[in-house]
Amino acid sequence: MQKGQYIRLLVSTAANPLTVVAAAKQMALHGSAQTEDSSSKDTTGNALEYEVTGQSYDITGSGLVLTPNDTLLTGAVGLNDFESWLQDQVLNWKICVMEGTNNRTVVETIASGQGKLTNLQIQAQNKQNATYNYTINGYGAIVPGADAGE
Amino acid sequence: MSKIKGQNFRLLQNAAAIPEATNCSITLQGNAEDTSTKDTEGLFTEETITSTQWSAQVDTYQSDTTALRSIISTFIAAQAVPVGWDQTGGAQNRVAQNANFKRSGNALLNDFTMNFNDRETVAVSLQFQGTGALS
Repeated sequence: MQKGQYIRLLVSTAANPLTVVAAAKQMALHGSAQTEDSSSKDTTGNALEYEVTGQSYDITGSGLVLTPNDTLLTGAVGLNDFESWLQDQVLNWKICVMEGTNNRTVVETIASGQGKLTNLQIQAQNKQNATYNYTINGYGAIVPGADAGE
Repeated sequence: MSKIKGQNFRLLQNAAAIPEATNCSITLQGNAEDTSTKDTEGLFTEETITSTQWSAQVDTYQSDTTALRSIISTFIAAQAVPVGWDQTGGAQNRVAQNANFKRSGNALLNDFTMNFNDRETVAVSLQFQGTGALS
């Protein structure tokens, strides 16, 4: 079975090329559809019929806070980059299967799309690694596999 | 008496068992309306089932990348797909037994979550909203 460390989030902006999120811990893709009861007096029986009237998705994740000179940030993005994205800026994202040194060589793209960073939280508990959590809300559709905005 | 184990009670999509599942739950709901009136004696409500609906949820370790893309495609399509459940057995507990528990209908994939966590197996949760009646 596929392990989570081999599936990573990569982000690019208009100004920066596609780079992986460094020292990531967790990441999840969550899609949700808004459904509406579309049954009417024309519908036979008692069972409700539904149709999708809207769709949305978000990507949530967490990572370790690295010092700006940490070598793991070379060719990658970290907390400082997420902070700079906390504005009305479209991010291009890809979720890819990765391998190789530091699991940073793209093997295969699972999904891609565009989104905007809407939430960033920093956790700094005594005697624990400082971490940050982020939420990227989808902007437009998810593209299974293919690139978007690249 | 024969008790059905969880591994032999599986959610099916397009007539095939959803692979690598660890849990599934099915909810059948009767939407009740209080139809008591002034003619009703006492304080208690009298409920009438005015409509029915169903939904299903499944947790899996479905980590094959083709399967992951397929889930996203099904979500994007926003079209109902055949979903049901049955008592299963045989190879990988995937062979539908067509037992008394077999139900089938159509449902929308209205929610999915793919968890890609470090040092954990990729885990996927799917939620289906039934549309129309079960047979």
